[in-house]
Amino acid sequence: MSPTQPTRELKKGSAELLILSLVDDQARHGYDIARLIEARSGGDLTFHAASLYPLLYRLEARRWIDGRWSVKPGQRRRRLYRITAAGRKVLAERRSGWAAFVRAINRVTGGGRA
Amino acid sequence: MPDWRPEIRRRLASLELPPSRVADLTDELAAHLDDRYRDRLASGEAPDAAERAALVELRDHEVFEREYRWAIDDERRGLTRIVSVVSGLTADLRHAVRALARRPAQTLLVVLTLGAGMAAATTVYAVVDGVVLRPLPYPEADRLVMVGLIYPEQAWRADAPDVQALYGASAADAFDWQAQARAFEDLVPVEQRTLLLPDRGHGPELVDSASVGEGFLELFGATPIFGRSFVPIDFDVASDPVMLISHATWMHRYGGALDAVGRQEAGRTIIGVLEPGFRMPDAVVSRPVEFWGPLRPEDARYEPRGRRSVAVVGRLREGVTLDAARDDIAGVQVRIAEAFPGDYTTPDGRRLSAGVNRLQAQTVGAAARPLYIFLGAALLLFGIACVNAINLLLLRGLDRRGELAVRRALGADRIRLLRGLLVESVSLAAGGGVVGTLLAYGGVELFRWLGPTSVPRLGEVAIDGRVLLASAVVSMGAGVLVGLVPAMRATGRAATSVSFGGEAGFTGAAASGNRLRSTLVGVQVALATVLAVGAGLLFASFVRIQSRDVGFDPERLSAFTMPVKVEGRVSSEQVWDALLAEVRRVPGLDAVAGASDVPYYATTWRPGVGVEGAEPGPILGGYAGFVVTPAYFNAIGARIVDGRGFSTADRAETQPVAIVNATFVRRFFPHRRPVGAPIELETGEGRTDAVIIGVVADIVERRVEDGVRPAVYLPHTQQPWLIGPTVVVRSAREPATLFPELRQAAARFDARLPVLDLSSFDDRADRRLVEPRFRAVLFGAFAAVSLTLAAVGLYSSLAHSVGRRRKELGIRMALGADPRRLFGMVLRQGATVSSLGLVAGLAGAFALTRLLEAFLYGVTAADPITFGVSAVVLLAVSLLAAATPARRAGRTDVAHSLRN
Repeated sequence: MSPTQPTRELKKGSAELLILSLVDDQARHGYDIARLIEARSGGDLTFHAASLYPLLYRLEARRWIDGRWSVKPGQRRRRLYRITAAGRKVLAERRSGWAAFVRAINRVTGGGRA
Repeated sequence: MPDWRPEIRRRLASLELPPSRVADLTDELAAHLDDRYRDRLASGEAPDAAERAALVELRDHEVFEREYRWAIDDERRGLTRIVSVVSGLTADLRHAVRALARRPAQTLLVVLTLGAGMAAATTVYAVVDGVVLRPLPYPEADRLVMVGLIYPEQAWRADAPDVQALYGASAADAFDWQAQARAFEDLVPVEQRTLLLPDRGHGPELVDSASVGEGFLELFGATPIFGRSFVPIDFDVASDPVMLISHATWMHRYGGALDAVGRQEAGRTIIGVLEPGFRMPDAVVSRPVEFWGPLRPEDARYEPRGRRSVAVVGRLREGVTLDAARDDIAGVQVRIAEAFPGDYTTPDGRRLSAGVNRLQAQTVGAAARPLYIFLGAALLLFGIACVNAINLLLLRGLDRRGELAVRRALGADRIRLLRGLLVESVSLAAGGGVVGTLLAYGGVELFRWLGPTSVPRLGEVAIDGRVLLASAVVSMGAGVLVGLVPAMRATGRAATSVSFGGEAGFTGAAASGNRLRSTLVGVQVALATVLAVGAGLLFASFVRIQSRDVGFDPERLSAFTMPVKVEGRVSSEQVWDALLAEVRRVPGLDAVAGASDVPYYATTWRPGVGVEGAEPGPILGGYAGFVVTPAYFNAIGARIVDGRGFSTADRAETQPVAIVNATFVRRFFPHRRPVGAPIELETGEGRTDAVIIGVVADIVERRVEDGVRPAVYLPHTQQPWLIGPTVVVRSAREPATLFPELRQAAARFDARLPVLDLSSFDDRADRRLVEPRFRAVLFGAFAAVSLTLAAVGLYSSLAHSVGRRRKELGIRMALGADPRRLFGMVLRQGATVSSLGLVAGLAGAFALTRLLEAFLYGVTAADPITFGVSAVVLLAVSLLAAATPARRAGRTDVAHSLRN
């Protein structure tokens, strides 16, 4: 793994934040979420199906996101996920928590100029 | 597009998911892989490379399984908790049933104990619910009201504080109120009437009917099941008279024939049959109304404003409070009274006002309070039953110490043990609840059968869903509460740190356990005392009512009434004499006489009376006035204590005379002799001056408990305005054998008129005793059951204690203790607990019996004799209960007890 690619621990911890933020503005299906993460992170973050969907199910069980099947004629049915009110609250908390965390780390390590 | 599904399913297989879930996950993953494959193709990769890239998304088996299991376990954890709790409770239930079955006698005792308590509580609650709490069976019943006239100073009922004392109004009042009052959507007059049906083989019959104003049937949601309802033209005085019949009447009198509609009956045409189950509100007419006719405002009978024969019912406008309606109608009435001053002023110058009650409150009236008292008594009984159950469970817990200790030692945690024990106690309570509910069905029937006729809506009382729900909740709750303390005790550390083979280590726990159990027994005795005192007071009242001197001799005395209307040139004296002459032709009569009203019936006439030189001031309820034939006092066995009775010498043309009763004399002639004194009478005919010629000992009016008012008796020859008399006869033979001949005599007099209330005075007396007897019996039953429960509780407690102390007692005996001393010791133990409970109970009874004051006659709420007798009874019962265990203690087999 290259030094700039995040470690597995960091990924797991921030995965929920990533997913929540992506379903905040519109409902998306799993592949969409994975593709967006990959694209927007410039390839630094990737999620395989085997890791992504379990995360989605957990978030769904906690009622932070809401999953619904959507059927288009002639196509396979897909599950679309959107954020819930509770999820929005968690997202806001995590965002500010994450930002604070990053600031703190940078201050301590003195390297924010990446 | 490759098919990803076999590969996906292979990975999901090890997770053991339900098929629907597998399908969902498969679809979702397949869609994902499809997208990945398409994207790869789009970016120029070869198909099999794209396929491989897609499959990489699934990772290898291990990783896949790990990730998915992590998510699924999370989901399952929530569900698992519920499932495990449920399965745990099911196991507990099975264990509980087995444990209870192992000691059937004990189980049965607890179930019956709780069942007795629940039966009492459920029965009385069903009555309270049906009579007081349940809304009336009409649409929007909460807005239904009754409006009537009130006397401003006595506007509120003494026996039901928020209810106004409404009196009947005139039809004109009803229409004025409807026009002027703003608080009501509708106000409709209703008049209770009677209808004379001609002889159909059983003699002419007087039946209950009602005239109802326009809109009445709509107000109560009553529709005919066939035929038609009233239409506006029916209320026109010129149109043909019509009527509706009730469903019961249709079945009973017309055999359910379809041609009943259209038939003529008593000069009216039947136009329809009302739906079954609809009945006139109790507050308007308390008997079932058979025939319903339109109340015609133009009818001459409604013209006089002073004729107050009408009840007025209606509905409040949406959102209007009762207070607002009361203010509204009072204001309207002020205006009406100003327009017609003569009609709304009482003789002593007070203005009549108008008031409103909710129909439900008007119906329930005074019935609520005694029912609540009964409910209180029933709950006391239930409390005793619960305390008994607690005690029995405590004893049971002691017996199972060994078993529970072993389970603790094997690692069961306290919560689980507690849960198990609580499941046991709830099962017992459920069993008690079932037993109690079954008994309550019988209880309700009994209540209805024995029940005081003054309780309204008794026909609506039933054990329905509401009552069942309440009783289920209470019994479950009781199960938990009753089981809690015994369960805590049984599973506590003190209890379960058993030293096997010795009971010596128990003294600490045993002592406090003993204290608790003794206290509980004491509580039972206290509660039983309260009920016993209550029952004693009611019983004493009943006896006093029954044995009170009623002022006449009811033996073989009978009476009946005929609703004769005296019309035309015939004087009432001639009518009475003619009727009595016919009755005298019946053989075997010792005496025949007539009176306007007789004992055990309400006195309808209230004349004004003035006595020279006596203090003025109104008498509550007024005076009682009677018109009688000369033979009356002799016929009924009343005692003339001064002066003379009426004779044939007292005629219309001679000096007006009067006889007064002893209460009258006490009120107006405390120091002088009344005979010869003049009095002034105000009857319907005007004022007359009369002379008192005699005094009769007090004769009971309607009920013994109501006391006797000052009364004036006048001869029938001097009162020309009468309606039909009540005929009294005393016979040598049994009254019932006379009745057919009396009916024949009445028919000879006028075959068109019905014979009403033909009965013996013994029967009438009995009817008056129904209520006080019922109260005494009900409380007595509660007291008896509670005494039994208390005795059983005391017995169990002592028996158990003696059983546990076998070794100690054996040692004492071995050391030479006198068996009688051991007997005495146990007996004293029981007596101490009971005495303390008794004292507490007497204090409680002293505080609570004032609630019964309204029902007491001849005894005060603190009657010392009753309290004393109750105390003696309780002590006796306690000693009896303690006797057997005490005897067993005295008879301890030394060798046997030392061996164990």
